[in-house]
Amino acid sequence: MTDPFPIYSILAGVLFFAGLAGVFLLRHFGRKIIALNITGGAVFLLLVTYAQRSEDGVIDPVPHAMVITGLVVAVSASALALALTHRVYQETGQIEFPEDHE
Amino acid sequence: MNAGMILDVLLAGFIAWLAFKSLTVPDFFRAIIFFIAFGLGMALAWARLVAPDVAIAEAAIGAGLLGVLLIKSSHALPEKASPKVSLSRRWLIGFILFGALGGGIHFSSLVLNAPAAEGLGALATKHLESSGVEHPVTAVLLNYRAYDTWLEIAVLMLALWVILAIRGPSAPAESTPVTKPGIQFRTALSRGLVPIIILVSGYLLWAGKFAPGGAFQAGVVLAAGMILASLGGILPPTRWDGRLGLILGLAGFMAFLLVAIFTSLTRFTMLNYPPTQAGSWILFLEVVGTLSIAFLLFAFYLYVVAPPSSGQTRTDDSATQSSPP
Repeated sequence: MTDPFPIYSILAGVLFFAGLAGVFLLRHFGRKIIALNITGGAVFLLLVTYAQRSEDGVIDPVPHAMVITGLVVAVSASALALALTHRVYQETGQIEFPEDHE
Repeated sequence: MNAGMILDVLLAGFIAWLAFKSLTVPDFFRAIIFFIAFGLGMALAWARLVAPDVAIAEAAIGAGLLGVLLIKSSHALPEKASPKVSLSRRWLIGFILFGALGGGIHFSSLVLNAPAAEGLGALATKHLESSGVEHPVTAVLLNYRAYDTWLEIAVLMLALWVILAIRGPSAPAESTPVTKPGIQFRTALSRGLVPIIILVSGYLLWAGKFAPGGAFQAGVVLAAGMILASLGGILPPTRWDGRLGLILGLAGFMAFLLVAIFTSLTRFTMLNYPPTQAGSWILFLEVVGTLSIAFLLFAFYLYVVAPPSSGQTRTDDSATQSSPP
């Protein structure tokens, strides 16, 4: 089996910057949350890719545990973000950042 | 170029395509569906990278639970169609593509030159016999880095508390809704699947000792079962944000706290289990942790957005909302 490291690290880079671009460029709050999760997934991908790449062939379990922890924390943060977004929408009627008029 | 590499290239391309679609497709609901598919694609990537624990967790939490939360919120976060949608979408796609390709290439050139390092794998396996479990990832989660797991449960609790605190005036003060009669398929599905889900959750909890699994995976599967039971109307009407919720939500954190206090007093190091009994202590923490995690994630689903007020109409989702007072 050949080393999957280069393919998935390139994927992690692509996903990270795609998600980051989405966070800044997307106007709808809910879509920003999705983009943020894609960015988080890219970071997890990089952690796990490093974990399976070691000299003695043993797979490092510590990044796996960190990623599992990170997944749960990301879901908590996303749930909180969704609740906040919904409250902002209820109070102000705004669901998107307004377009810049320059 | 062998079969594995071809599979990896195809999978990576598929995952990237799903991510792009979820960022750029016009309808928010469609974006959520693409995001769920992206999560499942990532689960396949974890499987290719020999990370089965992460694969189970991603499929259950990242794709499953987060997808359910997003879908439940989608009707509460409507997207206004912008008049200049075509021009700005082209810019958006262009920026995302440019950012992704350019950034990815630059980033990868840094990363690909990183040398292979030793890692902590050897250290983790060296102490595995005295850790109380036989699976390295479970040992890391519940023994070597049990403090992180403890605080992770605290994060879940904190998020739920804030969600409950910022609920608006239209939030349901009563118990979870009971499905109106007539939604046969949903009820039949719940009746059939929920017992199996409970069994699978229990097995994942037990299997964590020697195989991929453990408290988080079991907790998330159990939360999925509770959500399905709630949708199918087979849960009795209960007040989940009262005393019952307080007990269930706090139980995991308190279990860790009790163990930490006990070990600090008797062994002078926090969360340092006695090596011969470590397995039992870990099992206790995992069982209580699973119940807490399951309840906390289920409560996310219940309280993340308020159901629409009686003024709005929903044609297909009316059965899951509480009846207007």
